[in-house]
Amino acid sequence: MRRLGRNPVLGVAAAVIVCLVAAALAAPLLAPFDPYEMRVGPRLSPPGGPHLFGTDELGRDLFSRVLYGARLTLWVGAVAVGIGLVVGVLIGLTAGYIRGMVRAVLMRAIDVLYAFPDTLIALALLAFLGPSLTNAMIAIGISVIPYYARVTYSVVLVERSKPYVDACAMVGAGGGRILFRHILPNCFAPLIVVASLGFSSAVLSAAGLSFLGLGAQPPAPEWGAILANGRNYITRAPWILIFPGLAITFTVLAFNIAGDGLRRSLDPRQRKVT
Amino acid sequence: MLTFLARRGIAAVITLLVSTFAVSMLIHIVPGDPVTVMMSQSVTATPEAMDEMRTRLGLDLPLWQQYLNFLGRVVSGDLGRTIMGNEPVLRLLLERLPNTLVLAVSGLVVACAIGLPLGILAARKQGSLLDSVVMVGAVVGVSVPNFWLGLILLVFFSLTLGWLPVAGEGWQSLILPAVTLGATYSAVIARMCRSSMIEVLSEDYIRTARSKGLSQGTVLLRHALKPAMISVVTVIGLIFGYLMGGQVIIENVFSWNGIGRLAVQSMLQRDYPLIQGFLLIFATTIVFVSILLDIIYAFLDPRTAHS
Repeated sequence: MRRLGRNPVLGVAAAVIVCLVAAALAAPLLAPFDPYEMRVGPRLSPPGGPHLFGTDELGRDLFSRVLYGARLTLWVGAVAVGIGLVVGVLIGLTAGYIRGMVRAVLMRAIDVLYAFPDTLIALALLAFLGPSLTNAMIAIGISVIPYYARVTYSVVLVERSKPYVDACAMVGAGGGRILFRHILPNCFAPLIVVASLGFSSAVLSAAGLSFLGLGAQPPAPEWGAILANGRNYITRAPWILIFPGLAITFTVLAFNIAGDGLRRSLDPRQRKVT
Repeated sequence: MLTFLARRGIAAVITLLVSTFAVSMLIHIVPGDPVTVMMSQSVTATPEAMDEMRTRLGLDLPLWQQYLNFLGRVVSGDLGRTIMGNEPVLRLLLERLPNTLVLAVSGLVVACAIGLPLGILAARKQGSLLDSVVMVGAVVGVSVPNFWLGLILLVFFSLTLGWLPVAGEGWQSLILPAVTLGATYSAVIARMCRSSMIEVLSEDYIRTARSKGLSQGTVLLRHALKPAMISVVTVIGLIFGYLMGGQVIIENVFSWNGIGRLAVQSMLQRDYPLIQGFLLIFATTIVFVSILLDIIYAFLDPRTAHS
């Protein structure tokens, strides 16, 4: 914690994330209008007056939609990272601890998946699952499993050869207890870094998929879906593009800076390099 | 070297086999009956037509037989026919693949042209204002959604200033999408190049070169750049893969007539044979790029070929 406290940039990023989460949770209190209600103002009116970010083509308040979109965005990131983390860690633990055919098959499958961009894997899954925000979360979560599996696997390989693991086995501890009670805690530091960076990647992927019409469906106020809609009014109402785009950028930036800061603070090798 | 290439070739074949299996089985994750979902938008969706489609796609066969039939067709160059227009999938994709490759290569050239010099300069001036600016720019660069950047550039350069066309097929239409892709990935290349150069510049042989009185330019370009490029080449290769996949969105923003735009249309129309064809073409491209990267590694670091 002391190392984290000495990194001011990480502190700023953490503050931004806290504000984002607070704004998302307090959206019903902060939003001046219902994000789904139409004709709360003139159609395509510019920012000003009661509409801080302007209105869209159906007269919906853009500020309220962006605020509620933060909830969807954080939810998508959390679910996608959660799926990738849980499944990836289980695969990495198993492949790292059990030798032989199990390891070979699991890591070969992970290596094949790792060779492909996660966006493409998510697109492929979504094409068959069908477009929806829930399916987008599942597809993105599955597409990032290789990252968590590989990080966990590499840590388990190192830890497995240490004397404390042999000592645990000698006193009668089973494989599961050794893995989850003793080895897994050593994976937390690198996994936290990967998860932080993975969150920002999931936000970008979800926004991109929604922009293509494969993620969140209208009238959901997801930022990528708002951008997709705003594209049709690109000259008449550019604010529909600007504000959701800035929201995505600041969210992703905050998590990227947090992930970078965590990596520098938690990785001993990185602390030597400025 | 031949052993090295043979090993890489075998790994590539395994990857392609696993990819064909995954792609052929994807149709079974469709919630409900895939044929019903596929043909729900077709006016000719009679029960007889649906049964014929099931037979045509082999969905009435055991899974292992479906895969072997699929593999046999793929090896013989038959990726099936589209549901909507009943056109050969392979012909459609090969018509558009050159456009996608042109855009991917252009984006990569822009990314390297911006990222490499900035990364080298930032490493050379580590700790300076330039270094800080490059690093901040890199973090911001990877955080901006590239499709949003593309829209902003479109609004500014095409719709407001009128300097470049909104869409089309000529070289002028290539500029904005290439710059959009390149700007995003130049940030990644700059960061990797910087950290790789810093690591190499701290090596003893670099200190020796400096103490011999060699100029900074000679030290950087003749002694440090080649070993530093090994990590950078990895990233460039990964970026090419991401460009091929990630430009699906950019092709839609700029209405670029590549396989990515066709892929999204097929996904929205649930044209599964076309989606499968796109995924296979992409997988094959990735595998060949990986082999090319390995050959470049062997050139940059001959120890790789003999390990």
